[in-house]
Amino acid sequence: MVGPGTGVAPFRAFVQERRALGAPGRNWLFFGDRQFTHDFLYQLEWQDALNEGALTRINLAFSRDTPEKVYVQHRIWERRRDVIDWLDGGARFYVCGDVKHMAKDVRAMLVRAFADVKALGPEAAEQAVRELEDGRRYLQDVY
Amino acid sequence: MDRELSRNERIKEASAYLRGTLADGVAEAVTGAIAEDDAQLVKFHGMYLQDDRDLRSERTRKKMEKAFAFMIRVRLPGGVCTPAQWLAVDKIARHYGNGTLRLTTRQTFQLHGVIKSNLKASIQAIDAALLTTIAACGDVNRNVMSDPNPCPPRMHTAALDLARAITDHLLPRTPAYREIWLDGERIIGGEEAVEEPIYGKTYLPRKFKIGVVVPPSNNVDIFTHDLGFIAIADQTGEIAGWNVAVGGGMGMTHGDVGTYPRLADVIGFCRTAEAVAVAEAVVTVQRDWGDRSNRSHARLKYTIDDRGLDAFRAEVERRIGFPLGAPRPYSFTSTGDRFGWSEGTGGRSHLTLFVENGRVLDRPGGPQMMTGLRRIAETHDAEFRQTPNQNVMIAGVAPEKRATIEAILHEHGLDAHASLLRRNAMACVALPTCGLALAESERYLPDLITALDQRVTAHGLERDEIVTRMTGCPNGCARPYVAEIGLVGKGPGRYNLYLGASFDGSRLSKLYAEDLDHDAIVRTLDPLLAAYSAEREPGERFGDFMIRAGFVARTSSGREFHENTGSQRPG
Repeated sequence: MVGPGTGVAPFRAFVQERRALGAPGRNWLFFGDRQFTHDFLYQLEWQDALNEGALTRINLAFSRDTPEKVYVQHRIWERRRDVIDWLDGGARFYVCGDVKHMAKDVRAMLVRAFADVKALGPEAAEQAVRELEDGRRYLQDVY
Repeated sequence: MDRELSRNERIKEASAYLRGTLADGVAEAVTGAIAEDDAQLVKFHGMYLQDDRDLRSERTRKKMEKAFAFMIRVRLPGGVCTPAQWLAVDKIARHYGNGTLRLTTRQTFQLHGVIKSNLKASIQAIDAALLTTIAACGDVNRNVMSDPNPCPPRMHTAALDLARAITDHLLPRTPAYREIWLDGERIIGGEEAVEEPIYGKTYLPRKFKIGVVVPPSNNVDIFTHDLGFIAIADQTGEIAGWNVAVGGGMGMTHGDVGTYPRLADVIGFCRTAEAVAVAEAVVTVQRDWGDRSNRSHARLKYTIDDRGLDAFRAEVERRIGFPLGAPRPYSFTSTGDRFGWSEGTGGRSHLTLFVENGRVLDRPGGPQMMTGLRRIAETHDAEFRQTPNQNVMIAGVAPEKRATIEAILHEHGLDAHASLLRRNAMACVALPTCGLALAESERYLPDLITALDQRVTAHGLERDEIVTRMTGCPNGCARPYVAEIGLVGKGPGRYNLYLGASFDGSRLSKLYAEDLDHDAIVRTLDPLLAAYSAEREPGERFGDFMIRAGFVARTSSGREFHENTGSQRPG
């Protein structure tokens, strides 16, 4: 689940549903916004979900907390081995939020991640992501 | 003492020399806080976990945790830093803090509003500037204060040298700081090899404050420290040695008369070569004798009152292996700073600037102090010295640089003159960041001074110096109990008023009135100022007059602090 800013909304529902159903399996959220202090939406709910096991992992990117801007795609890159490992294990990759920059940047970063982790050429890496899309395992709700 | 140890003692004991679970807690991204026990340990590393108390209710509604952020306190013996260090701290404040610098009542920088994810970067930048934050807070020797006055220069140098020597000698030796903040390697099992020859595993029972002062100025407020060294000159103006004062401390708790501020007693004299050993002995006696079961009774001042001054001195002398000399005569004139230019040696001069409540910032539409001081640091080639009154001295200015500095000051609106009342006032930080605050302090005192300035002027006292200090709680960071007008927060918008302290910092004040709001503070002080103006003797100070005229009872020792409180004049 990659849902910076208001893009986190559906994932809040995902996690609520999984908690209500007692769903097994793992899930991982990448969230980002401007400032940790003011923009960490539903922070206490994510903390509870982590404590109760309804959310397995979370990584955060706040772009205005440091002189260098950090976005969700950078966090994906930092953990690219685990991300690719999860996808190899059958995980679905959901993206929600900004269509103009974020969605493109995240997709491009996932291509780079495939290339790096699996030592693929650019075209083969692109193909790997396209296969996820064709298999309805790379799903977007962007606006 | 077989009473149960306080919680902090168990935290220290279990911390493996101040490590606790800090390394993991700092890396945990989903919360801006750290574990409760670690919040105690992080103080030893120079940081406090705080939250923006203005935002608490709003954040509960938004399902967000408190707006946690850290306060970082730098360790800066004697308040002295280079222009390059000033620039480094300024940059950290702008990149990672709230964009302001706070100069403290103990001559060092505080940065507020540093969120957890930026802590390591901030500490690493501080380290890169050859500064540190270790032991700036916590149950250890804190920042050692030293008289910033450059005159007489040899005495100032001796005082600063001693402050630095004591600092180095009493630094914690644990590698935890380097491991946690500077990515130093952790040696597995290395905890057992750590030695804290002075502190041991549980450090001190409570914070420990040391100051060094050069009479006749008592700007360091030497009697408010656990341990103070008072410079004594010989006939030639060289340093002969130091009078040793022990057992000062400000903190108390409202409603608990077992807690009280106390001024240090001068117990003897030592040579410069002996001073560090004396400091170590005083610290280790307190380490061994101090109360580790009750933190509000753990400062050295209570140890001394419980055991007796003679027994304490005897134990210190036993540990250093020689008797202290008889105290030498000295006298103090004031606790304040000298503002403006003063002449130093070698044609160089020093400029002391008033920094209201120590807060360096660019005021929208007002003075641009943060930028102005940064500009000065970019051109200045000697030192910055923070004063114990939260002001800053630009020290060692070459003659040809004076005009440049004055132009920068003018350009940034920093050449306006504050009233004497304002220049002699100081406040602690309090709300919104300090977790202990019961009332506003730094954000409110400027408005109170404006109101009091009107009364002062009405009574023709605008050329008189009166020391006013405010704190948001009774712990006393701004040393309110040695101020002629002391205001201590009791609850939102309410203050206790203390009067009768001396101008030179040698006598404590006394509670005069309780739970005053703004109007009541002004209404209560107005007739006192009127009486002072009309009835004082030549040269008589406001605090002394309060006692002679019978407004408040004199406080001669800490144990009398809570006796005969309130107005002593009928009607």
